[in-house]
Amino acid sequence: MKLKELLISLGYTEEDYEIIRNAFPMSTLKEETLYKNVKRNYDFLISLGYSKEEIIKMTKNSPQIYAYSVENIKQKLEDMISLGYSKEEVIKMTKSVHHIYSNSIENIKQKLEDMILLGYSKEEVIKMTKILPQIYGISIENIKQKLEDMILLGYSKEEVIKMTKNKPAIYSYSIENIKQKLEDMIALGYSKEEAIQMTKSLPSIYSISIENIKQKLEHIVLLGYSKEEAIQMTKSLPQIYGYSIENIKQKIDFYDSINMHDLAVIHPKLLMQSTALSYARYMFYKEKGIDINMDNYIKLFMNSKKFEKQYGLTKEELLKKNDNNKTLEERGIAK
Amino acid sequence: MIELYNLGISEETIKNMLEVEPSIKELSKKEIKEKIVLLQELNCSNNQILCIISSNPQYLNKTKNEIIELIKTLSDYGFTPLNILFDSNPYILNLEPSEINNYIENRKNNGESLEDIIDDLDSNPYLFSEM
Repeated sequence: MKLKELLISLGYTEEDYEIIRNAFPMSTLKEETLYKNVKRNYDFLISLGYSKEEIIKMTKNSPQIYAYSVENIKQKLEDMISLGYSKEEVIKMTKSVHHIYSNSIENIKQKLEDMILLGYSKEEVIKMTKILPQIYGISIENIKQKLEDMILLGYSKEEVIKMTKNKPAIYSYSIENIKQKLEDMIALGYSKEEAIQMTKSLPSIYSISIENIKQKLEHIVLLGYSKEEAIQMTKSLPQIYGYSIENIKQKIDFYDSINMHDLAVIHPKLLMQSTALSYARYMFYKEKGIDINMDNYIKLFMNSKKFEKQYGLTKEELLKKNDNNKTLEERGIAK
Repeated sequence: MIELYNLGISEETIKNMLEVEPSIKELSKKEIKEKIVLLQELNCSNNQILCIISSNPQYLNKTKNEIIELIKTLSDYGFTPLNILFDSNPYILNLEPSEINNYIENRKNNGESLEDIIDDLDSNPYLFSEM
């Protein structure tokens, strides 16, 4: 079997064959050598856990993987593991950023050190690059520039580090896009300071389109709040913009069902509590003859330790007592 | 992605999930399914799984072992039940064990007892956003 036939039998197209055959350094290798490399490396990548489709995608983008020896690939894996990644994590990272295999480990270490010099801990860099391996492809000068641009917008350096640790994709957005998002938020009714504060709490706001944000606001209005109330809720709990509509609706519907519609406006952070727990406590108080309403709603959100001390029930015991999840769904409050 | 539709997540929400986390469209059926199973093993109801995943698509991109390690860290600290914790704040699933450890250590160094810290976090899941 010739190389072309082998590649086609593995799932490549004729066009893929041309790309691989003509890429450097494959173009310098004899057909026989390349044939052996492809067969060997393909089988090795399968043994590592890549699927056929992933291997084809990787090697189309980085054909030089077929020029490496198995020992090279193993060594790169081990080098990455020694940096602090698990094997599973490296495999996952290389599925989306194939050139990790072609990047020298010295370059990768240098990027790690550069990021530490900027103010990140090693663990934070590892986390960021697991979430977004493409960080290894962004120059440190670009990262520094983005950091400085964000500081000029009104963030402290520590805040940018925290935000980008959790949402490294911020480094891939242009500062113009970031500024535009802030302006769009101001146009919706937030002050610049409020918009900045919200993004500190939920950096993913920079990933969410303004259409999505407007849509969420509209959904909250449809659930029975004014636009001003919806804006107020999101200032206090920006995470609302991260929640799905299904999640928001389920929470609001629940509190509506127990006549606590205004809770979301008066104390939005309390929306976070699992409705399963809120319902369990609500039913517990009801059995005791205590009617929960907007005057004493804080009882639903009592600290777990205090609740247990006062009523002698752990959270698990309370939930089991009410067999919550089934009941919420049965009642049609949950989906 | 069919697994997400099967959870009951709407087309609109899936579109929003892809906006926040575009790489989830590359995930295999197995990779998505294993994340759902992990939540089922924590006794998450179907509704809780829908809310957690639809609100935190980044969760789907974590490896199985990362999640298991996080669950172990939280369990070792005494957070229970975890289905309620994750339903309260789905973004806890994005944390690294080291972030939780560091946060708790810092508060302990400020004189708080471990029991009080865990109770505070458990009762105010918003605090996990500070990590």
